[in-house]
Amino acid sequence: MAKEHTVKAFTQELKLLKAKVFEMAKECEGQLAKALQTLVERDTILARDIIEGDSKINSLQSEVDELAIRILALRQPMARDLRNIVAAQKMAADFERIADYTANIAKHVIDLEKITLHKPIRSIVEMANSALQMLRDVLVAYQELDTEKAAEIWHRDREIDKIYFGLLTQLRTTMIEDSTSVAPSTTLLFMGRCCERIGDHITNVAENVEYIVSGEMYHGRPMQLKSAHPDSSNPLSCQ
Amino acid sequence: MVFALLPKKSPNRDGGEVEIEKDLRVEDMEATPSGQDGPVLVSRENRQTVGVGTVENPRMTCRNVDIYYGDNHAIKNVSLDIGRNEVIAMIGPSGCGKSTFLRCLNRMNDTIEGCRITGEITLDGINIYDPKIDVVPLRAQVGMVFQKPNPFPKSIYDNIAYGPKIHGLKGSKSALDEIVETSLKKAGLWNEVKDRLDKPGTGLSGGQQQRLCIARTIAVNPEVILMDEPCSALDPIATAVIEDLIDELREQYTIVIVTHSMQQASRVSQRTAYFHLGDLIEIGPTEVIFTNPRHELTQDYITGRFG
Repeated sequence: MAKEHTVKAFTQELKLLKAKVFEMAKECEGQLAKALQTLVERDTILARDIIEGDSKINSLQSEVDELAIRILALRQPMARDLRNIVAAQKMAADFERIADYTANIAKHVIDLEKITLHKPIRSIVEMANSALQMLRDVLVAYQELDTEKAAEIWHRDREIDKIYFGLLTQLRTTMIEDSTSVAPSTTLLFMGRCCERIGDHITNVAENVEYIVSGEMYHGRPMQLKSAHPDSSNPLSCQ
Repeated sequence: MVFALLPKKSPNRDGGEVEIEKDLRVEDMEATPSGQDGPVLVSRENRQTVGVGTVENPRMTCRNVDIYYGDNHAIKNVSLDIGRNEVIAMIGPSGCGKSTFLRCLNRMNDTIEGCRITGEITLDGINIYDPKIDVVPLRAQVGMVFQKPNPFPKSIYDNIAYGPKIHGLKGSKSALDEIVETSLKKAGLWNEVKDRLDKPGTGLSGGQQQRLCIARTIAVNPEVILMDEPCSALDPIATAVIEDLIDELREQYTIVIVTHSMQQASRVSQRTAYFHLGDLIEIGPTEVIFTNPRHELTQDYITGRFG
């Protein structure tokens, strides 16, 4: 059983910090879900919503930072408390980046109307969908400090990398075959790249869950996965 | 603050649905949820020492040391090495036995009635509890600095010169002068007192008095310096000066420090030992003890979860 701090205000501050990170993550998840919807429905009004919503996440990150620094300065936290705070700050930075990439995707949704390359768009939707699932799951792993789940999510990033690699090959071929497709292809490349980076930031969050619990960073040590990937050779080592 | 973490139902990877029941509130944000301590940390009930207490080429070794005050079993089967040129910090709540353990390293407990020590403590391979050992030179080799600065009611000069005189280290007057000067320099006090060596030591400030006591200890060429909360009566600036001094002294001496300030332990020591109710609970590199302790009791103490 975990004991409470003798100074109860300290416990409250740590809980508040985690709650703020969750609030941020929750916003982030909403943004990504909306981005997925705009990709599917080409909803440019919703896309504008996403772009405007990014500033809220930025200000939440500032709140997390301020609170974390205040606790560090005033409480001199040690051991797991220290790891919780350091991890909260790092995760908040990851969520902020995820939100930025999501906004970048939204900025290009308007261009999709003119693009007729349907197969690559499907790949991007698939990547965004996987990323959204990973994000939702990693929040549960963080809440429950479930390191096994975190490790499983970490490995799931390979799926996104695989689709991204396929997307690259596909678009390169398209651009070689048809020079007029260079502009739309680079737009799609950019959107795909955003999804791929979101996946990477989610693996960072998963690493921090392991760090809070064990004090060690998870960097993909061998583990038993329920759904082991047969193709473990990763053409795009992502970190 | 209340917000939903996730939709009540969210599709899982196989396309099925997983039940996510709760909305989260600040109150639910357990910083360390129960159950998570189990697999990683050694349980509070287990009193076996966690970590490696031995070092290569130790200055002092303690093996299976038990200390009793009458019926009170104050230290229970503690085995620990004290390395050369290291600062080792002993931390733990009041009554955990850290000061008791420190005091038996130069037989300061000998004078306490009813105090009984079993096990073996050696200094450079020699058992310090051997009946043939004379405690007077032992206490020069293993010097001690106390919580409250306790200069002799003598001049600054005599405070330092007294030890070398009684230990027969005295040569000529100039040799004694040199010992006084070097000791005060090593203790970082020389510049502040060089013009008033004939003034009483008790007239110095608290921090200066403590450095005078450290200089007095150094004057008799110790190998080990024991410090029992040397800064607890000092202000933060005087404390910082002593901590800086401890770091410098490490090059020549071995230092064992008992402190109630965890920040101090983390600042000055290379290894830290955590005591709890007479047991040595955990010993390890200081940075590991303070960032990633392996025992629940250590974690409780250093993160401020007492009782």
